[in-house]
This record gives sequence, C-alpha cells and structure tokens, in this order.
Amino acid sequence: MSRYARITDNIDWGLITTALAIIFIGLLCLYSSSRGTSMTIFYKQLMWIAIGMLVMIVVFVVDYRVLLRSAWPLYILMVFGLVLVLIVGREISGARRWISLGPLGIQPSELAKLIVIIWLAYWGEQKKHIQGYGIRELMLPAFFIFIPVGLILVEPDLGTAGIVTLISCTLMLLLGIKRSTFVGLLIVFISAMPFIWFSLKEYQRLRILTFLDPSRDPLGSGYHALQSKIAVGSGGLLGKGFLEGTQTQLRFLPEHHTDFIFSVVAEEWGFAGSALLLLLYVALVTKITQIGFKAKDRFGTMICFGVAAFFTLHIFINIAMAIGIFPVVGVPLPFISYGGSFMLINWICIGLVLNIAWRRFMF
Amino acid sequence: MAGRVKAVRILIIVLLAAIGSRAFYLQIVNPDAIISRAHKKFDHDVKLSSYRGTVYDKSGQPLAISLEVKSIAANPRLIDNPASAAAKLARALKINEHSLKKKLQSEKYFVWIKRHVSPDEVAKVEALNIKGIGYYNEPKRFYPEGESMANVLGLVGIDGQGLEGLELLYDGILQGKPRHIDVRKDGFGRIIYARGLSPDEAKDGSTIWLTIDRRLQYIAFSELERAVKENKAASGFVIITNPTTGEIYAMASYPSFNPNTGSYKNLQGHKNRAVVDRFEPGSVIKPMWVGWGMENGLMNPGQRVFCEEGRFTYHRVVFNDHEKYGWLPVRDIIKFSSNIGMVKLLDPVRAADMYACMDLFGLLSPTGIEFPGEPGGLVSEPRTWTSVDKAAISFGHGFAVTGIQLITAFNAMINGGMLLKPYLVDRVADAKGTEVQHSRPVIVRKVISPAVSREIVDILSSVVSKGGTAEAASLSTYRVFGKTGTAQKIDRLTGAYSKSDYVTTFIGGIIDASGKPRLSVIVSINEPRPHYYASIVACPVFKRIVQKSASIMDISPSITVASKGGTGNEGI
Repeated sequence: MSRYARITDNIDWGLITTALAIIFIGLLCLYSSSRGTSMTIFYKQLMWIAIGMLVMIVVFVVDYRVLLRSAWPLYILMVFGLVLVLIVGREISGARRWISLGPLGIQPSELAKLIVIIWLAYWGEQKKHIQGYGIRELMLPAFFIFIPVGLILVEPDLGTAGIVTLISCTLMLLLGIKRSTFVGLLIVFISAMPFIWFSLKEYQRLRILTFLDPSRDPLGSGYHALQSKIAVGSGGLLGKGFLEGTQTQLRFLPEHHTDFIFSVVAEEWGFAGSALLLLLYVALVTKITQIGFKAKDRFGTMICFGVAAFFTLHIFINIAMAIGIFPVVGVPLPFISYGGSFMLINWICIGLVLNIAWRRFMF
Repeated sequence: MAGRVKAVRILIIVLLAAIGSRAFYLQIVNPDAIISRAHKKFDHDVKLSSYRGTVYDKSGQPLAISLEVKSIAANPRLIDNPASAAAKLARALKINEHSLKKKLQSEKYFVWIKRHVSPDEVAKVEALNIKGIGYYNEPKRFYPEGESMANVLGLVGIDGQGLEGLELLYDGILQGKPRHIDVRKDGFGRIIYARGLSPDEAKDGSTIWLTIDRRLQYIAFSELERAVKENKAASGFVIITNPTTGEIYAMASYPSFNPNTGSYKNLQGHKNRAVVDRFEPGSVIKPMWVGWGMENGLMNPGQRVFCEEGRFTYHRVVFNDHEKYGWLPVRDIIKFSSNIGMVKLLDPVRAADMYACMDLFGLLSPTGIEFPGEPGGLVSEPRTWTSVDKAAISFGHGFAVTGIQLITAFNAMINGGMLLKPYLVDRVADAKGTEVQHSRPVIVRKVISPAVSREIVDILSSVVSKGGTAEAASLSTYRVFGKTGTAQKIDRLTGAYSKSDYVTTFIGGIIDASGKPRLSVIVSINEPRPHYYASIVACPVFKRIVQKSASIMDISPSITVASKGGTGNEGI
C-alpha cells in the first residue's frame, strides 16, 4: 500500500491534466467537424485515446533505461518498417505512407519520429564525454538520421521528413556543437538551398510558391490556406460558437478534422479559444522541458527535449500553416488532429516523460 | 548543458508566441478583411427576371404582351439512357436528335430541351415518363397584331431581351428591375437560405401606350401589302399621322415578318422602312420650296414661269417634263408637277439658302422619333453643289431623306407652319400603374406663317382636283390635298438613274368639316412594275386608307351635298 502511494505521489499529474484538457478541446472540434458526415471518425478517435492511454501506462511502468539497450533494435525495426511501406504500402493520392494491419493502418513515418529521438538520446548518452562536437563526430549520427529521412522523402512525405530532421538538429544543438562547425554547417545548408529546391516535386514547389503568394492559385493549392485563413479570421474574439462555424459546417474547409483542425478551434471559439489552446501547449512543453532539465541522466534529458521539440514543431508548423504563415504540409496537431498512429505516439511521448520524471529520484 | 537547455526552451516559447501573435492579428486586429472575403465566398446574388411590361395601342388594345408558357429542360446527370431518351424526345418534339443526344450526354446539371412549347408537346413528353426531365414556366412575348406592327415593335429574344424596334429602345423600362435575392451557399454550392426581397426591389416592367391606333395600323398594313403585291413592287411603307400634334397613328412596312414565330429567315422584313430607309423623294418635295419661297418673298402663287414646252437645256443638261407646258403660274407648277418650272423658279436662289431651307424643315437631322437607328437626311454640303445638282435638288433628286422626315416637313407646311416632333409613345405607367410620362406635342420651330400654310393647302388641293397629278386620290366626302412624287432610282450597277426602277410616293391629307387637316398620310412604293406613276400606284392606296380611317375615326365630312362645288377651305 505504501509503495503504491509512493508511485502516485511522484506522478506528474499536471502533465496528464494538460494533455487531457487539450484532448477535450480536440474532441469538441472533432465532434463539430464530423457532425453531418460520419460520426465514426469521432468514435474511432475516442477509441484511439483509450488505447493511447493504456500504452502510456505500459510505457510509464517499464524503466526508460531499457530503451538504452533497445535503441538499435528499434532503429532496425524503424528502417524495416520504412522500407516495407514503400513495397506494400497503400497508395493514397500518390504517396505510400500506410501499412495495412487488418482493419488498422499504421504510419511507420510517425513511429520514426519517436525512434529517432530515442536513438539520438542513446547516441548522446554513449558520447557524453565529448565537449563540443565537430564535423568528424557528427558524421556518424548524420548518416544514421539520413537513412530514415531519405526513406520518408521517397514516400514522399516532406512534412514528416522535415520534422525528423528538425528534431535531430535540435538535439544536436542541445548536445553542443563547436561554434566553427555550427557556422560551417549553416553555410553549407544555405548554399544547398537551390539544390533542395530543384530536388522537390512539382506539387511541393507549387505549395511553397503558393504560400508566398496565395492568390496565384486560389482554387488549387492555395485553396486550403485561404479557406483556413478565412475560418480563423472570421472567428473574431469569442468565435461563432460550438457547431456554428460556417467554414467547417459548410465544408468550405477540406481536411478540417486532420491537418486543418486548428481552424475549427479558431472559428468556433475565436481568439479566446485559440489563445487558451496555445497556453495549454506552452504549459505542456514547458513542463516537459522542466522534467528534462531535472532528469537524472543525459539520456532522460535528451528524450524529454526531443519530445518537447517534437510537440513544438508539430504545434508550430500546423498552426502556422492554418493561419497562413507556413506552406501547406501535412503535419497534424498533437492530441487534437484525428489519427490513430499519431495519437498513440503522443501518449507514448507523455508516458516516456512521466517515466523520466517519476524515476529522477531513483538510482 | 544548462545554457543550451535554456536556449532551446526560449526557442520553443518564441515559436509558439509567434503563432499566437499571428492568430491575434487575424482574429482581433484585422478580422474584417478576411471576413469580407469569406462573405464573397458564400454569399451569392440570384437574379430573377421581372415581368416584362405590356405595350398597348392608344385605346388600350395589347400590341405586345408577355404570357407564361412551358419550357422543357433536363438534368443530364439524372438521365439513365441519354441515347434512347434523345430519340424519344426528338420524335415527340420534332427537334434534332443528334444535338439533343449530345446535350443529354454532357456533364451539366441543366440543359434546355425545347423552350416555349405548346400544352400538347408537354403532354407528349410527360407521357414518355423519362426521369430527369423538368418543366418550367417562362414568359413568352406575344404580338396579337402579328406582321402589321412587327417592324415598329421589333421583337424580344428567347430570354426576353429586346432585340429590335421599340422592344429594344424601351428594353430598360419594359424589363423593369430584375429581382435580386441574397442567398447563402455551402461549400458544395447548395443554397442554405435566402433572404427575403425588400418591397421596392421587386419591380416589374412599365406599361407603354403608343399613339398607334391598332385599327388604322391594320388598314395601313393591309392596303400597303395589297399595293406592293398588285404592283409587283419590292417594298413600301405607309405612315399615318395627326398633322396638328405629330402623333403617329400608323406606321407600316412591307415586307414584314411574323414576330410570334421569332424566325430570322428573312431579315429584309425586319426593317422599319418608314424610319430607317432613305430615298430620293422626287416631286413630293416641291411644295416645300414654294412654301419657303412665298414665306421669304421670293415667289408668289400667281407668278408665271415659262416651262419651255417640256424640254429645257440647263448648263448643257436637258431636263424634261412628262407633259409639254408653256407659261404656268406657280400653283400650276405644283399642280402639274413641272420639273422645268421648279428649276427655273429656284434658279436665282443661292445653294446655301436652299440648304438652310432643308435644315429648317428638318430634312438634315433625324426627327427624334422614338425609334432605334433613325438616320438624318443625306444631303451634300451646298458649296459642292453644281448648277445641275441644284436644279435636281429643286425637284427632289440628288439627296435622300426618310419617310418620317418627309411627313414631318409636310405636316409643318399644312398645319399652320409648326414643325412638330413626331412621336410614337403616348404615355408610360410604372408597374404600380402610376403614370410616369405623358407625351405632349413638341413644337420644334415655326417654319412658315399660317397664311402661307393656308395657301399651300389650297395649292395642294388643286393637285387632287381635276387635271392635277393626284386626281385619283380625290374623295367624295372629304376635301383632300397632297402631292405626288416619282423618283428614278440609282441603278446599283451603272451608278446612273435607272429607266425601270422608281420610288413612287404620295403624301397628302384630308380636311374635316371644321376646315382643319385631320389626317396626313405618306404612301411610298418601291420599284413598282410596270406602272410607276404615283397616280396609278400610290394614290389609290392613299384613297382607300383615308376612306376607311376617316370612317373609323368618325371624322365629319367636309364635303356635303350642300357644300359640294363651293370653294371651301375656310381657315386652318
């Protein structure tokens, strides 16, 4: 009994409460946006939340340091999944991102986000004696990150590839890169921009051009961004009210239950709703970084900051896209967008962070 | 590591703050721009055409009226078997099967199959029982007077827009204001709700009453048709006016067209020749020169002119009269229509003065009658006239005018000297029945004195009397006055005057018991064969029209048994 009490005492309830509050907002929006079409989306999401929370408990219970040993097996599993999706994946609008497992669909690229965090944290733990990484030290991790990123680009899924790269960069910065190396890499990156541009697919280039000037194709690739902006703008201070959003209810806005769900929040709940959601996210991310800062080992810190970067990048890119300051890329909003794999990953992340927080006093 | 941890945390906060401030800008600072854009997206304006106003004659008989008829349409997306549906429909409606099949196979949601169909045709199509066929009420314009009014009224297109004639000129007021309904549509284009019409927005077309008398119009058209056919002529026109007001009682052109079938097979028939055709008037112009000359003291009715026994060489050009005349007083120059007499009478008059006279009588500019596309006269600048040109102009050749210009000038000569603007529209009332326009006679200017006008009427009466060129136009009940004209037409091939093509015109009027001119009529027949003299071609038409019109209008006779043989013409 006393042992049980100790377990609950050290659980970070604030983190769970914040996540649940965000989920509640998400469910309101999902209810609103799926009303009139098919409520199955709403019930499926409820199911995935339940599954996610169960998985979180499992992740929480097992000591996270087990992952130090399973970093490589996970990495291999990830590469296997990413290769498999290219072979047997379902093709949906020109991209192979899904593997069918009976009635379920799994996105290996979503799992890749998490596994890359774990693998980098493992690698940082191994090399923690190094003070300031130079080019030579960075070659190896860069190579092992490039493999999944490259495979995701082949699917193609530019958004996910970008997020994996950005999470990796954040963790590298956290580990500490030599100033000269950092400046050098920056120069290389900037000079590589034109080549990146020409290696993009036609529709990807078009999206970026349309982002710079949405009026160049208001009915085509600029349509999402424009409709979303209209939804957000028409929300005003207090919004149109629950189930009253015309952009959503009248189906002007496509993908309003997945990538553009923030528009539903903004339209129906106004700036008040958007600001509340953003504050909840800030609280969530701040909490995670605090836990990371206090973690007992470098591995835990790395994982926490990886998870923080993961959430922040998703939140930033998704909302920035919805309000028209970022090109349209398929990036979901944590705990809110409809989608099983992603909800699962979100809860695993929370489970990991809780695990790290709970075990910081245990040696 | 602590410093870097702090840096990464700051980075995270900055990113989230950036999107927060952007949301603040979009939602709080500047929402209007984006909201108005949203309204553009889902607010639409639906236009419903209003009821097109009726056109009546002066007494209130309908000349152009819109009635509801059925039209048949289809939603091709609902039609299961376009080929068989097209075959069945084409047979039932007698339309082209191939083009119908194409329509029914299209990806559209709405196509017309046949518009303005009869109840019989609707019944036939209903019997076929094809899914995806719909019936719509649409207004169709009917013209009860058919051909006789067609050239003046013009016609409307299938969607009710005025295309020609008065339907075109008054399209704006006949159409009224289309009704607008604001509707809100969803992302699939379905109408969610419609806001009600505000009462002043729904506005049907105005109603127009013309000065036309439908009965006189019928007489004019049928007599014209008969004359054109009997004389194997190409075309012709008739105008009947009230010479003291400028009202048009009738305006007929032949050939005409049937406005109810809306066919464009013969565009020739669509012309309102009385207003848009210019032609060389010939001798009908002569009274104008005499009236003007007397007004300005250049000539007097008793003045005698030697008519050279029918053959006169003037500036090396030979002019002929149809009969040989010696010395003639001015009034007889008109009575017998001597060209040589006119040439010699106007010989001392300067070209510029003659041009000014034509301007005075309104022959240079359009009369301003309410009809689209009215031209002015075709008269060259007087400084370019040679002596021979000037001589030809004195008997009505070498320039061209319209029928409406001629009768307007003629009315000014006989009504006491007032040039009146001719008009077709008597009054206009808006959809609520409030009168918004009531036409009154408009005096453009005074051209001659009443005394000279009386003198002219007297001279013109002699034209119709025994021995005059228009004896055939005389009536036993009314005193008639008028002038004939037979103009040679320019041969299009040679550019010279033709020996066989003529425009034969009679312009005249009758005087009632009060001694006032009551009706004036111009009859013009183009290219009659084989006879071309006005006395044979145009005068009988005039006579028949006037006889019938006068009895319909109940004009009191000016010739009674008691007054027969008297001098008459007591004051105008």
